[in-house]
Amino acid sequence: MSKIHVTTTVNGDAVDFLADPRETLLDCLRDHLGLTGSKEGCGTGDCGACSVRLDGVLVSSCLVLGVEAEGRSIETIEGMASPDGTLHPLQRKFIEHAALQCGFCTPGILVAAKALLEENPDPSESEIRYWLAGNLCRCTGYDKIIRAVQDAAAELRGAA
Amino acid sequence: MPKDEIRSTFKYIGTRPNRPDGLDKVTGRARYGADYAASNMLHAAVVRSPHAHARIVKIDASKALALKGVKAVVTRADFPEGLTGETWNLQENTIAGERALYDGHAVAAVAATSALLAQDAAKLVEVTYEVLPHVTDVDAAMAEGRR
Ligand code: FES
Ligand code: FES
Repeated sequence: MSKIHVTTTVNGDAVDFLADPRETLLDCLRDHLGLTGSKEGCGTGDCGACSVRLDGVLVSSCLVLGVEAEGRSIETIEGMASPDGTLHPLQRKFIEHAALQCGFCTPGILVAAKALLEENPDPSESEIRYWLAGNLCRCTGYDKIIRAVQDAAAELRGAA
Repeated sequence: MPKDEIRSTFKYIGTRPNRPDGLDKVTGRARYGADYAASNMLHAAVVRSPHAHARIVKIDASKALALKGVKAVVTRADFPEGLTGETWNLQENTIAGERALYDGHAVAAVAATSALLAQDAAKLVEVTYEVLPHVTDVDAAMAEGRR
């Protein structure tokens, strides 16, 4: 099948790639751009391991066609820490609270949690649980994840 | 104070060390099996049984193999014969032999130059099944005459 030339922005960088029209945004990020931080847990929109932001909107990149990225702006886990390597408070709190084990779900959860805190800087525990309901973690359990998000939110509000 | 906050005089027990792989995992740098790529790497797709129990009458991979970029189609015929014990188990569960033993049992695998091509080729592998009765509980599975 003939490929389509896609020009887009990923984590602030201008990029382009040739996509088969059937390839998902997740395939394009991982296989064409080498950004393997976004994971495929299911490929069917159930697990959230592929969470990225498309023009700021949180999406499951396994459910978005790669060609849809044309002219858009994508944010992935690779763009979360500062260019100098300073971790985002969420990343630091996940390490401090041991909110990860195998880490396969972690990039997706961090991307989703960041989107939450930008929309709602002071979420209740239930709001965090509802927001992250689309992100499955099979190892850690959700408790430490919730605590890490709460702690990061407090720090970002300047309350910690 | 939650129990996991209790400090003790032990060197490690009761302390909260950061896990050494934490940094790689929160930045997306950690490499998992599916994150590796190599030059000339082939991609695989598996053909699975749509039946819970069926005799495999024939597997015709000629249409799949005719696609440019399809390098191999493997079936049980490519596996060693006569394995016993644990090894038998591994073999039976890895790929179906005379019969598919459950819905989703691997029947053939395709290797090709891209994942999409492998998936396309997998759809072209023609498997002729003779559907057999299946069992859904332990008692029926243990009944006389079952295997
Ligand atoms: S891989 Fe996209 S939701 Fe699971
Ligand atoms: S840490 Fe393993 S799936 Fe969440």
